[in-house]
Amino acid sequence: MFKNYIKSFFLYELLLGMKVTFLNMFKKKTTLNYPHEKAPQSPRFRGLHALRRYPSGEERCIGCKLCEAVCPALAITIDTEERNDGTRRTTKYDIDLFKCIFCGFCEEACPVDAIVETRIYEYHFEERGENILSKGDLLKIGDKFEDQITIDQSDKAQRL
Amino acid sequence: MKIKINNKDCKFEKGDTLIQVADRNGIHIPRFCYHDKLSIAANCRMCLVEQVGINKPQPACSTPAIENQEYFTKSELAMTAQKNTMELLLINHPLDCPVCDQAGMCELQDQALMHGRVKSRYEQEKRVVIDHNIGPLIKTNMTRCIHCTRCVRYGEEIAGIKEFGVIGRGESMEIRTYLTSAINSPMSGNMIDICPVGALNAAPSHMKGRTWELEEVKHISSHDCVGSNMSLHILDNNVFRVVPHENKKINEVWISDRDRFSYEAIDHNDRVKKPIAKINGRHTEVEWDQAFDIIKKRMSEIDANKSAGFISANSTVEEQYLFQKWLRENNIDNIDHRVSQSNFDHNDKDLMSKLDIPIKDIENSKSILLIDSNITYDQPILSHKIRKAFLKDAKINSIHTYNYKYNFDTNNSLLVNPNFLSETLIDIVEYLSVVTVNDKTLKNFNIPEGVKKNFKGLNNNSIIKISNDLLINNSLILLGSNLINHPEFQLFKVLTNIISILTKSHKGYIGEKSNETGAWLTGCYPSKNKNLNLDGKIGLNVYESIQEKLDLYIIYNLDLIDFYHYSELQESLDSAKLVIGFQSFVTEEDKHYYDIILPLATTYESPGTFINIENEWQSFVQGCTPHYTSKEGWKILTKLRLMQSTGVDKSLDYIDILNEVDSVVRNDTLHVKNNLDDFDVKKISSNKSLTRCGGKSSYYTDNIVRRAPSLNLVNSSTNLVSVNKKTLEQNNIDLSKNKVIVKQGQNTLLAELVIDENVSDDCVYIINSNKEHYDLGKQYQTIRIENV
Repeated sequence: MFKNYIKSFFLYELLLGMKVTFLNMFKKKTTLNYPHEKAPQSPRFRGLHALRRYPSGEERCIGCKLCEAVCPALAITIDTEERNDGTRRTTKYDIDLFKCIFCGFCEEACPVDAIVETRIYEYHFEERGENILSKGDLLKIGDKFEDQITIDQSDKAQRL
Repeated sequence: MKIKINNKDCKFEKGDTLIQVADRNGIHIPRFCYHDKLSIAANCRMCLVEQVGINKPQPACSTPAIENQEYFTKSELAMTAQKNTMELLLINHPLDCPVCDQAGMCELQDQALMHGRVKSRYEQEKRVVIDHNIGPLIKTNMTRCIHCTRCVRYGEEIAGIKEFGVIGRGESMEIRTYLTSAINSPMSGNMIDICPVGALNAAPSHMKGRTWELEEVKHISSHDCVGSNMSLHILDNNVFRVVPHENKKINEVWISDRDRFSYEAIDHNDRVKKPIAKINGRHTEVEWDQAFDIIKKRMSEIDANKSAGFISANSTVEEQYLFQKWLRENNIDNIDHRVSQSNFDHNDKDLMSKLDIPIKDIENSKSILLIDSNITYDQPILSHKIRKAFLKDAKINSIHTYNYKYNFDTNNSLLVNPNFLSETLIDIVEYLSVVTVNDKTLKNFNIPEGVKKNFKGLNNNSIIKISNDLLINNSLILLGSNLINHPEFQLFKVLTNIISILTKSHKGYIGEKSNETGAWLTGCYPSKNKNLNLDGKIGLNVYESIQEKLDLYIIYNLDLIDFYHYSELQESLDSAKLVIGFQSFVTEEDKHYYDIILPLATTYESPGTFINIENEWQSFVQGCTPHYTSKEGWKILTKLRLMQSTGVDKSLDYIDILNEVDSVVRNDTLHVKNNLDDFDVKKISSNKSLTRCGGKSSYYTDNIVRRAPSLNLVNSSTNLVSVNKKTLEQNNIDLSKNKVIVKQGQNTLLAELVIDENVSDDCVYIINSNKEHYDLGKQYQTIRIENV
């Protein structure tokens, strides 16, 4: 009884709690100053999708629809057509980002490494409908980040 | 007798090969070259299995099963052999599955997964084969070919037209057409199905979809009288492709190209997309309700006796039943489906198109007589059955007005002028009457006096030969569908009937439409059928209805060129007060005749039933929902009935209609009248002048087929006029020119001239394959031919 009285008089519990606080003041920080600082990413990071091109500028996608078939969330919709040169090309390649669960199966299924998931994870939508990435959008993303995608893809290939 | 496969006891009969026994017992043996409808080649070596006691693996497809032997399909010896074969086949096979149309239904893909090695050890270059264009229906990619030769054997054995062959040996072995010509067989599309890899693919659906996206719906073909069973593959509410569905009684595992590729017409430019009504003389698109109101209002203004309705024999039984019911409820009795028939004499002896024996029994006939039938192109499935009979040594004879190309050989063939075809048949009757004079079973049958008076002594040897062949047991007479345009068509039917009675042979009238039997049974003709509760009033037939120049015409699912009396019809429609069309397709030229056009779903988009030539009822569901705003025929007709008559149950749905049709029509068989006593031969034409003959092109038979783009590319030049040399010289035609002018009445046509000895004398052979041919005039009429 007397012991408890002394403890509460000298704020013993408070000091005990503050001890953790004061000790952490001198430890190395674990948080990041986002958006000025960013966490490191694995080359296998699965962010926003992109469609790639060959160095000649020809799109890689041959419209085989394997990604559409493998997609567990049914987020991909593809229409194809035969182009004048006799190759099959997509006329429509839509990914619904609301449905997509970023599992990366599409990337794995692709026989020509056309659809990839990039490191981009910072994006937002302002209007309904913007969540659907069309073929043009995907190709633009691919063109913009091709250098990084090339590095990541070769890195992945080495780790197989 | 018994053998053991994988320690399982299996029964077999003498002559069975191992693969047949295994298939029956559910034991899977991989194979490429073996196909149960084709001969055995044993050239792919994929089906190697182990036979106990023999240290080499044996090909299961060509090894006969031997009593008490033991076989293993999955022993180490068999598995190694299969793996090695697969590796060999894959050496030259490209790894382009992602771009190949076959992927997902590819036998090579499946078997490589089940029986192949995981990794290829081959690192050298692969072989590349140059593709040849073999026509608009089949897309080739011969680099993928594994030389199983199924397509070559199919051409030789089933289609009967040798077009594909093997050229070269070893590395340079190649399968191609002999002279880089296009494939011309009317059943060529089946090569696509039997090809185990992606070497032969359907050209119209090439690269448009993947196999795993498709939904399969069973359907019945609407383009010939046998009702081939087929499966529609649906992608996004569109028919993606059509493949055969096995029916041992009818089409086995084959379908004709016409059934396979005509689906392309569904979205043709001529398709009626919305109801169209003529308001103030101008065609305007209206809503359905508005269109129904206009029909109700304007039909009530017109006298029912001055109205007529024509329905296509390609429509389903349900549509035909409701159509005649709707019209008869409105007191319209002038109903008919025989629009391409030219003449209606001997009408009381009218017989529907019909085959006495089941289709599958045709192959057992010992003797077949074809009367002016281009059967190989018009009815490929029936032709296949006749070919099977031919391969079993049946005697096939033909009496024709043009030397048609068949996929079997004929014993005797007789080329006659169409004006003298009836005389040829009467000659046969005359010969038979002499031969069968002592036949006691024919005691009660008298040849009508009308026929007898035309007997004039025999002088033709081939008629005797043909008649003698008919006297063989189990013979069959087939009357071709082209003749429906002939003015003496009814006479041919009766004469065929008499010949079949005299020779005790079976007979068949081959109809060109898919549901002629249905149209007869449902009463889509001027009749007093008791089952349909009609009061006995007989209406006008097509020809009379057109000639009477009535006030109201209702045309259901027919192009105007489907009518034999095409030019008269145009005049009658011009003078009519109201013309209603229920149409899937209307050409721009035909549009102005109509006051109201209701968009009708095609057979692909509506459920229904077809009754084929052997009276087999085959129902199907809709493949996809109707495109645009079109509606199924039964819905439109039911709605009209509800609007116009009282006492129609409001809650009618498709099943009710199906049940009603079933109860009213199913047990009704039209009686064939054999009372021929008062029959008289009325000679309609025996003029010696130049006559136009020829039927329809087999890809121009109905409103769907003639709009199918790929099929219409098969015949590259359609504007042809064939005449034989003798006739040309008699008419002073300059043979050095390749163009001529043909004239019928006021109409002229400039066409390419073909000097063709297959045409009979004094005939101008024109196959109707475009609208100009119909504008020129009718078949079997006098024609003139002049130099350019």
